[in-house]
This record gives sequence, structure tokens and C-alpha cells, in this order.
Amino acid sequence: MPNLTQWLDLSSWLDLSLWLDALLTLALVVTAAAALHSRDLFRAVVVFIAFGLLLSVVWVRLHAPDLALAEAAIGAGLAGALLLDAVSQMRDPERAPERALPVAAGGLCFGFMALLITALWHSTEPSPRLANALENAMGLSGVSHEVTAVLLNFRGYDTFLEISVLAVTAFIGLALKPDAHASPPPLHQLSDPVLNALVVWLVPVMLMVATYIFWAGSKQPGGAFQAGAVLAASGVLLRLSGFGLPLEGPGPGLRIALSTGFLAFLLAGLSGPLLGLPLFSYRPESAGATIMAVEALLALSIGITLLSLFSAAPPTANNGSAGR
Amino acid sequence: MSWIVLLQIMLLLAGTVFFIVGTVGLLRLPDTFTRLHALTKVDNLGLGLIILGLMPGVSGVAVGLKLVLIWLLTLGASTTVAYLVANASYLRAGPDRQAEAAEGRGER
Repeated sequence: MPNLTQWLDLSSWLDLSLWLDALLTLALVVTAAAALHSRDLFRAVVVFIAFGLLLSVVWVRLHAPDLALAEAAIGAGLAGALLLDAVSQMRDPERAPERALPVAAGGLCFGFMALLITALWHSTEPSPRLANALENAMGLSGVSHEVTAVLLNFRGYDTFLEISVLAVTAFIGLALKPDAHASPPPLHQLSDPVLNALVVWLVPVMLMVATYIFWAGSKQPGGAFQAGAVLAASGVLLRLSGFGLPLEGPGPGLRIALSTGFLAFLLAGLSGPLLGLPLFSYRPESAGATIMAVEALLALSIGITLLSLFSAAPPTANNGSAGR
Repeated sequence: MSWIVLLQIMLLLAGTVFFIVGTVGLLRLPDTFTRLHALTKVDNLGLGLIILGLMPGVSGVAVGLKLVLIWLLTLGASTTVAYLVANASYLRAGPDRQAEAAEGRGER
């Protein structure tokens, strides 16, 4: 991103990447406004998915591929599937006009934007201390990708709290399921040969991609969250195509799967004090193996958590057979 | 400018043209079937030409294979989705094609 003082320099206006960024920003604002103002909820959701994809391109432009992956997989993909599912459940998808709240929220957003612009305008060069500290400590982290080192080691406590929130969300989702103790109703069998053929070919590829993204996390963008999202996406695809999934019922298997990542992370975090280290810190020589083990279980748990949020929704009753 | 770069530019431009034409078709054509007809051209030829245009610039065989994989996955997914949308729309509309949902909503 160009420094604000560069904006006054005319030659920088010939820079094509600047125009690309401006176009992206404009498209982001337009899709956000369209998603908020569309009276048709289905249209709003579709525009929201487009907004998420644009946002992931923006993260790429900001040199944050980890965030771009997460945004594309979770923000646009899974959240989009969840919202589409929610819209299809609603009897009257027309939106009731509300005025007071949007105006207040809009005012708040514009105030915050003004504050951010002021802060950017007066900003000095970013402090290099944290980046330097990270670079110096990378040897102790056990991995070679900075984002993974921060998320799973140096700031593991933060990530652990995020995982806790996710686990709590999944259990609330299970509790809100209409009939939590009944086995899931029979799925609509699509028995569509074309869809079945695609799913049979696609799901193995998706599982391979999820494994690769998890494995890549130790040395390049990737990791448990992104891998878990791809895992969940393949589950959503299977479910929407009418395939039954073994972990869908509310039995103990699902509960164990949901809490495995949380428990593994907790154990790894508590192993520090046992060895005379601070909480959530690992010995440098075993940090790599610990992080990979925790991440593998996290990816599985995150995938099943996201999938259970999707399948916790009541089954589509009226328009059945996924749109047929 | 070497001829490879010139070829790349031609391929990328051709791919972009397919994308623009497909999008115009999606916006302007009257019903679901004709819109799908326009959209499948985008995925097949537009993305294919763009991937082909990017090929000479990749840093290694692995990256090139990933690009081809992206194209193949898009082909498989878009073909299947186009078929599903068309089939759902056909079954819903019945004999009266005029009555089919012009908005193309409801297909998940």
C-alpha cells in the first residue's frame, strides 16, 4: 500500500497497481452497500459471497495470503452456504424495513472510518520492534512460517481462546438443534448420476487439498483453520448432495470430535508449566512436532465444528431435494 | 517484446473478452437456459485461455500443473452445476417454458 505522502506525487498515479487497488476498494464498498440494502435476502446473500471473494483478493494485495485463504474458505464459502441455507428456511424472505438501527450503525462506521483515516494521515513509520523480535525468535518456534509461529507458539494463548469460542459455538449449535436426541431425518436422496460422479471425484481432491494446506502451514501460508474450512466444505458438499455422514448424529462420536482440538491444544499448553516453562510455550527442540500434532487435531475439530454448525440447521422441509 | 509475451497478451485478452461476453449474456439473456449457455462459455474458454496465457510465465512445472488443476476443477464443477440448474429449472417449469423462474433463484 502506498504511503499517504506518495498520493501527492503525480507520477505514482500512473502506477497500474494503484488503480487495481482503487477498483478493488470501490467494488468492496459497492458490494457491501448492495448486500446491506438489497430487499431480497437471497440477492443480499449472493452479493455478500461476492463481497467475501473480493475481500480475499484485497488480503492478497495486502500480502496477507493466510487471511485471504481463511476469508475465501470461511467468509465467502462456508458462511455463504450457511446463509443460503438460512434464507431457504425462511418462510418470508422479504426484509422488514428498519431505519433507526442502520442509521446508527452507519454513523458509527463512518465515525470509525474518519478516525482511521486521521490515524493513517498522522502515522509515522511502523515500529519495527515486533517484526524484529519475531525474526529473532523464529529459531525457537519450531516452524518456519511466521504466521504459524505467532498463532500456535508465541501467541498460542490467543488462538486457544479462539478455539474455545468455536467449540462453545458448536455445542450451542447442537443444543439448539430442534430435536437434539433424535437421529437426523433421512436425507433427500438426489440419486442424480451427474452430481454423484462429480462428488465422488471431488471429495478426495478436497481432502487432499485440506491435508496439503495443513501441512504447508509450517513453512508457507496455510494451517489448521484453512484446512479445517476445506474439510468442512467437503462435508457440506457431501451433505447437500444427499450423502449421509457418519458424524452427523448427536452421539458421543461427534462430541469427542468437536472437543478433540480444544483438548489437544489445552494439553499442549499445560505441558509448558509441567516442564518448567510458561503457559503455552514449548521447548524449541520439540516445538515443531507439538505444533504439527496440535494443528492436525485442530484442523479435524475445526472442520467438524463448521460442518456441525451447517448440519445443525433444520432440514429443508418444503422445497426438498436441495432445489429440485 | 518477445513473441511469447505477445502471445500471452493475446491469450489473456481473448480470455477477458469471453468473460465480458459471458457476463453480458448473463445480464441480458431472457431465461435460465440461455444464460447458462452464456456462462459455460466463460468457464470453458475464458478461464482456459487465461490459464493458457499465464502458462509461459509460471516459475515451475508444479505451479503450471496447479493452474491446469484449477481449470479442470472449474470445468467439472461448472458443467455439473450448469446441468443441475438447467435440470431443476426444466423440472420446475414443466412444459411451459415461459413460466420458469426468470430470476434463477431457488436452485442451491
